[in-house]
Amino acid sequence: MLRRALPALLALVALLGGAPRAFAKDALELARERGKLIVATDAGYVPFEVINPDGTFSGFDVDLLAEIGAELGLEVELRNTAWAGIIGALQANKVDLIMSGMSVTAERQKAVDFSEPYYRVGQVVIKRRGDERIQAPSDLDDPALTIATQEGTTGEEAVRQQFPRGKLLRFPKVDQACVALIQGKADAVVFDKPNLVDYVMRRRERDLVGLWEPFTDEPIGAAFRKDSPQLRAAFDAALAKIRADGRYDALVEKYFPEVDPDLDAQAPPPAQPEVVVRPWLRWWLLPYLLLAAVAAVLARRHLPRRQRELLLRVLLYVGLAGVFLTWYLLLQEKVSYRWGWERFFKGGWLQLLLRGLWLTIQVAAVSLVLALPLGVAVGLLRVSRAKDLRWLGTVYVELVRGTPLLVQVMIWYYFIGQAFGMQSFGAAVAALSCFTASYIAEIVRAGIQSIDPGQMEAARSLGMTHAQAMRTVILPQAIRRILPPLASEFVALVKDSSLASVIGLEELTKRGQDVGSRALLSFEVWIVVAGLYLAINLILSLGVRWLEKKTGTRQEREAIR
Amino acid sequence: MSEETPQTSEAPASDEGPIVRAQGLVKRYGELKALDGFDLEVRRGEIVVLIGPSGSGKSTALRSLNGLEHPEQGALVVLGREVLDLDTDMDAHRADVGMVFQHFNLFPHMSVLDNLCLAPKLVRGAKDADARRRGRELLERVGIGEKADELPDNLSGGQKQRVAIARALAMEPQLMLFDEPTSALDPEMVGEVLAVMRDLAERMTMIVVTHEMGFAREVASRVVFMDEGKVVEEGPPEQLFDAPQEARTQAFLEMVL
Repeated sequence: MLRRALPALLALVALLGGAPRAFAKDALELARERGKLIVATDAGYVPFEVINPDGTFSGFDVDLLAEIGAELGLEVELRNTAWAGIIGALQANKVDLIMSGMSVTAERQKAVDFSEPYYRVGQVVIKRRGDERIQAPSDLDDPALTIATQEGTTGEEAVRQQFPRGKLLRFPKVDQACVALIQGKADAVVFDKPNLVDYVMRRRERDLVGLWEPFTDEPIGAAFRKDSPQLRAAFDAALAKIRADGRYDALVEKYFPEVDPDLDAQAPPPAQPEVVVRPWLRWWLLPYLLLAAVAAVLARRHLPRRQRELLLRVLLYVGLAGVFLTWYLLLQEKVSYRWGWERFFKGGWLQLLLRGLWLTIQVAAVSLVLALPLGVAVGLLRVSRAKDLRWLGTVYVELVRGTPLLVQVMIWYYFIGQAFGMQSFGAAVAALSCFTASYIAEIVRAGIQSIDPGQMEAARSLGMTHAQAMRTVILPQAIRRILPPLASEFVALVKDSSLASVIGLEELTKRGQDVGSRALLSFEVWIVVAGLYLAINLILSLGVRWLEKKTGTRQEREAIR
Repeated sequence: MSEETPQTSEAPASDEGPIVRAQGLVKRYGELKALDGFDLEVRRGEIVVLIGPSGSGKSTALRSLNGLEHPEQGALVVLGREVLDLDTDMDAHRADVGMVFQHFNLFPHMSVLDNLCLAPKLVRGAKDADARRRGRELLERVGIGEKADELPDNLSGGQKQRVAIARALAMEPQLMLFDEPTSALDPEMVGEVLAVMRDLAERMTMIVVTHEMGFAREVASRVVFMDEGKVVEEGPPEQLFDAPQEARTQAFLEMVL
């Protein structure tokens, strides 16, 4: 079932986690001291752990943990952490254990200890109804077939090992793989049975059928640090007790749906989409363009400039909206994706995304405020007259720009942040602002170097020091010139902030993934998430344009308007 | 000039000796010798015009005087300061030497008046009100008082160069250097700039690199002809223009006159 760990990440985390482990106490002792158990989970994995509209969590793991916590006399606190960062969080003592539907694998056992398996899952195959090429899982070992699954999971591993000749298509989340199957971009999805059963049954996807007999058997366990045998033993004891008195079976019944024979039988053709698209609709664009052209010509003759511009603008936006609407309706006709906007809005999912948005705004705004002065400072080092300072600036830029932001986020959280007691938010802000500063530094350097050397000569000839000339003559001109590329950098920063999800920040992208896999509304969620990012960045761009206007010389001001 | 302007930094030049004394200056750019044994003496109140073919080292020589270029050999004393000595406070030196460039190099992001006030306030510590009043006086003197609040981009070339001259004067320099001040101007604007310089010549020591032979003949107290990085011939304008001694001077003058 779930997710093969990324070996490189494990190595990094083992390296970083090594130091604190030497003097760490058993996690059970730590939990007792604070009176609660802190558990990492990636709440995007039906039916083990999913997010609720109010931001709380539910699922088999969550309920089982509550029972275990009760047995141990400890409160349970869940830390929703993206999968890529989850073992790191354990290694670095940020959490006491991981409970996230994690498969027990030999590779993982090198890094962590597992509890007794508390569930067993197997990989199954789903396909489109009527696809006769796939009768058994082994049929997938065929170069003509495309198999979709979630990346970095035991599903991907199973496909690689058992169907090496099939074409592998990997998605960040399995619900995206299912959409690809429905659309015909893939011929089968391979993933854990409980998850796929839930997808097909809950969405009542009549176009999809499953080969519901699992072809693998994978134990699921909770993961512990190697230095915490006491917590592991206590966990196993509590689990045994819960199994013995029937509570466990009740949870299994509650969370692992059975295949609905009605839906699964050789049965009805796909339900008709509710909206029937009028054939003429797709041709609306031609008359519209004609109309718009006539209107534009008439406006040119008869309307004053302002009204003409307004009219053209309205025509443009109506056209764009129309294109989007047509695309949407055609999508409904061509693709049997059933839209669930009502479910999306009534289910309270939008509010959850907005909470993610707020966090994204906070992270991005603080990072931006810090990145700007840092970037300018490093940029000044880059053009410094002292060779050593120039060298220092170069090293900073090459080092920070030359390594992936994901790795930097982790280094800040697990290594530097660990030393300074930095939490997720602080580490994310530090990583993002340092990273962005390296790009800003290059922009600042280019801006300074683009100023005519005569400006510096003139300032120096008046007796100003280098620093005075820089501050009053060169920088004010350079900053005005670099505002447009700076705006691009700010926009990139907002989007890059999604990487903070690997250290447990539930920002917009992470919320989107969680809601997507919980509510099974992939398209709806991502359209909204994209819209929200776009909204922030448009506001940002407008702000920078306003600054450009404000700082420009008169001619530039006129040109920009 | 103005009574209440803050005192310039200690002005070491004595009234007796020359205020510029360059001996054997050498400046190389790779293979090329821009200066190759350049000698020059200038006394207070003199108007010295440097002429010569392009590439003869006129600009390099001029820019060496306020440390924009760094000759690697020779001795150079300007206003009593050893310019080539690394311990000399070149910021204080440049504050006492005004420089006017071919391309004006006004600061485009500030008004004309702010162009004039910036350095006096930063370098001389002048009060804002004093600097502004003094700036307006100077703008009146160069004939563009009404442009004080414009941005430089809204000025014609001749107006820009007059602002640049006023900006240099705002620092109360003891010596003014002009590096081809009219070369980038449309012909109809050359006159207004030369007029300002002519007016200034009455109470200022000036060294001017120019191709305006008429100006040289009329205003210069001495004309210096340079070629290949050194001084070939120098003398009062009437002597140098009407009876040049050296063949190279004669050849050059035949071409330009």
